Amino acid sequence: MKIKGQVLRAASLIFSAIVFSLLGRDAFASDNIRYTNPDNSFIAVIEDNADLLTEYEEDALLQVMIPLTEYGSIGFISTDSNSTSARYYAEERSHANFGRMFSQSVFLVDMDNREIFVYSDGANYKVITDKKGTIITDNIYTYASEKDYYTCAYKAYEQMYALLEGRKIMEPMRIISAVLISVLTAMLICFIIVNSYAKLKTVSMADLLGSVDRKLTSTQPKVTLTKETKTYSPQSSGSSGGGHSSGGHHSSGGHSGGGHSGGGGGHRF
Amino acid sequence: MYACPNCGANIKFDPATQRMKCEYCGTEILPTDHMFNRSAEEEKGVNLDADFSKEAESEGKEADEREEYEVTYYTCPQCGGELITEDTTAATFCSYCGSSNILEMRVGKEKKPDYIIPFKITKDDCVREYKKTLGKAIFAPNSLRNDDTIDRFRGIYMPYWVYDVKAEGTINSQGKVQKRRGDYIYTSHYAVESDVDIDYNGLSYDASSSFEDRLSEAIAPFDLKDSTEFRSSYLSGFYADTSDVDNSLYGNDAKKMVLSDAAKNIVVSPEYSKHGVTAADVADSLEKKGAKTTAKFGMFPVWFLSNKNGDRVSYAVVNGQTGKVAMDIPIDILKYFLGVLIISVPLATLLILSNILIGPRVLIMLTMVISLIVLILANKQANNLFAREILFDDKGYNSKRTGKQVEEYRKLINGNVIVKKAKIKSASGNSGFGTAIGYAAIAAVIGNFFGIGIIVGLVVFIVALIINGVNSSAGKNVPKDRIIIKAPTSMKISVTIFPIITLVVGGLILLVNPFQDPIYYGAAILGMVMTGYTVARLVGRHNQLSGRKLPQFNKRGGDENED
Repeated sequence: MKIKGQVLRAASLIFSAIVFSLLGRDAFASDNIRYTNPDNSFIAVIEDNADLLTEYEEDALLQVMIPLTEYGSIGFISTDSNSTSARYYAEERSHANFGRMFSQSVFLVDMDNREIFVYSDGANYKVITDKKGTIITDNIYTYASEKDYYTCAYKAYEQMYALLEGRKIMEPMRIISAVLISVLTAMLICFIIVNSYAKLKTVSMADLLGSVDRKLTSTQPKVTLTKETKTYSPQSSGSSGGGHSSGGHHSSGGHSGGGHSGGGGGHRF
Repeated sequence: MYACPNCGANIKFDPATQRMKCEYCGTEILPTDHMFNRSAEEEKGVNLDADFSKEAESEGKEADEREEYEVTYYTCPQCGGELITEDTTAATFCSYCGSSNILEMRVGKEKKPDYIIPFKITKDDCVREYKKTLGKAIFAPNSLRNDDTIDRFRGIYMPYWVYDVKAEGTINSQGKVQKRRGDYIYTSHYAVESDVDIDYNGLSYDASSSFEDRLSEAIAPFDLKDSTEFRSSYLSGFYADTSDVDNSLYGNDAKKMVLSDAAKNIVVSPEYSKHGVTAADVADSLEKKGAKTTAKFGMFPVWFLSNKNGDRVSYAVVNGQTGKVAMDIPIDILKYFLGVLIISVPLATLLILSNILIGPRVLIMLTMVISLIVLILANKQANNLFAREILFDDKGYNSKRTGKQVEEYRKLINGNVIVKKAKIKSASGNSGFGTAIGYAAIAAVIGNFFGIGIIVGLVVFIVALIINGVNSSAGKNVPKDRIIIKAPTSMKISVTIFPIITLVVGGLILLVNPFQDPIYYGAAILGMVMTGYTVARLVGRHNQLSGRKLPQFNKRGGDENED
């Protein structure tokens, strides 16, 4: 399997080199590689700030990314300096490259946070949801752990493309988890059902006495004040009164703009 | 055995008509008829001639004055359980241990009860009520529904001690009311005095060590309004258990219950509450004043069924007066797992098809939550099982332990049964704090999915404490010592170890927070398998709880258990 993978990888690199030379590429920024889909103007961008890919790998990756531009703009971003969260960074770079209003997806390798992240927005986000983004990164994070960033990204785009084409992606652990949780929950539910009917009901004192012949008479009570005492007990002055809390502002890293929504999922590596 | 005056066949008491009825010719006679005042021995050979009534009447008067009456005893060679009957047909099984043995028969004399509540529920009614209860028990084994099993329902008159509690005189209760004025607390002490006359009649407790207290309590109460003067004719067609429990055993319980109830009714007068006197204070005063308790001996109707399963036996009992059912319901393992399958398939499908993503961290948290629930259930069940195995709640049975049995019992309860004096006067006996922490922990783990674990945990903790506070306050007039039964570690470890391991390992993984998913999935799957195994063990233990070890009663003479 490993040899087959290496062969495939080498083939894809050679193939991409040939195709790339035929297609040509736009170079807007010094290190960034761009491709613009002539049919719909969606673009593909490789912004390898952390320099994780070789030139050949970048070219090959772009070939993998190009088919995705049928559905929206697509990006590969890497960084080794990020003071924010991976999600925030991916969103920020995605919007910077493709604007806020368009269909787009970005695969980020955040070396600072040691996290990979799939971010989508617009039409793409309807398909590559937070959940799907998480599943994709769950499936590929091991490549990032092994520093095989090309395969990691390649696999990410492969799954993203499968989803955009309406195909399914592998979620074996999710299915195993769901089955196990269901079985365990069902076992508990059944056990609770058993306990609900199998327990002997205890009879209350009221029920027991309900069948007893009860006679009780009591005269009007005679009350006598026997003594009065006085104890010194100073009242506490510790109460500070109604203060107010200013409350901190929690930044979720999400976007604040209205009218569209984006998101994704990530995985540490 | 009583012979039908018309055809000479066996005539039995019929609960439906409340008359003696001949199964063959249908003759019906009132059970109070003088012809039934004869003993079975004397009844034999009586001819149905014109002078029969007169003869029976004269002998009947004599019989009424006797303290004892003649009966046939059937003793089980297996468990020592003993039943008496008026019939002479050999009993072929024991109702207490379920053994199908010919019971040893002997004729003897039994103390005559003060009164009897005749069977009102027929066997058909009993079976209907039994099936109705069983209808809800979806995982119950089919054997419980077999006609052969159900046919073994036996009408048994159970011996009961019926207590009358009387108290009269002046009671003096102390109360105090506190008021704050500035930096001072003013306390007014009051003496509240009133004359009371308390007369409660008819609190019943079963008087047989063979009849488990938990079962007799579950089918209580019996209404003495249906009681009548004892006549042995009511026993015809039925069995009766023998009384072997001293009448002093439950006297104190009866007295406490009566005084507690009386105190609650007395403090209804605002003069008490206004001056800071609670029902507990009045109950104390009544206790000090003293109450007279007298016991009478009654026989109450119970339909009784035993199911022997290996070395254990489970029971179903139906109140022969009211039709109330109490039964041990074991689980059919196959049915249980079929139920698990039926629930888990749609649940898993729903989870897979839904948009819910169970990531590795969430998965491990879910596993931990389930493990925690299982741990709580396992702990509780182990304690219950321990109490059941030593028959802790069965005061009647324990009072009959002798010699070595007493020593063994003391050893067993030593350190495992703790009686805590009631600090929190809670009717339910819940301590509250521990429970609140438990709820809070579960809520915190669940809340953690949404990133608000601590907040949710705190809120649930406070709410649980408040609820407990309300409960405690509601029950504050019923001070009750808390009896904490803790199963020995050896009994707990096998069902708690796996959930504990799951919780510890899961907690460590969440703490270390590794990025490798296989660690989460591996731990979660292992945890789930271990927890699943534990739940399967709990099911097995439920079946242990739904029955008791084959009993050994000390009823027969020269008991083999007495060393």
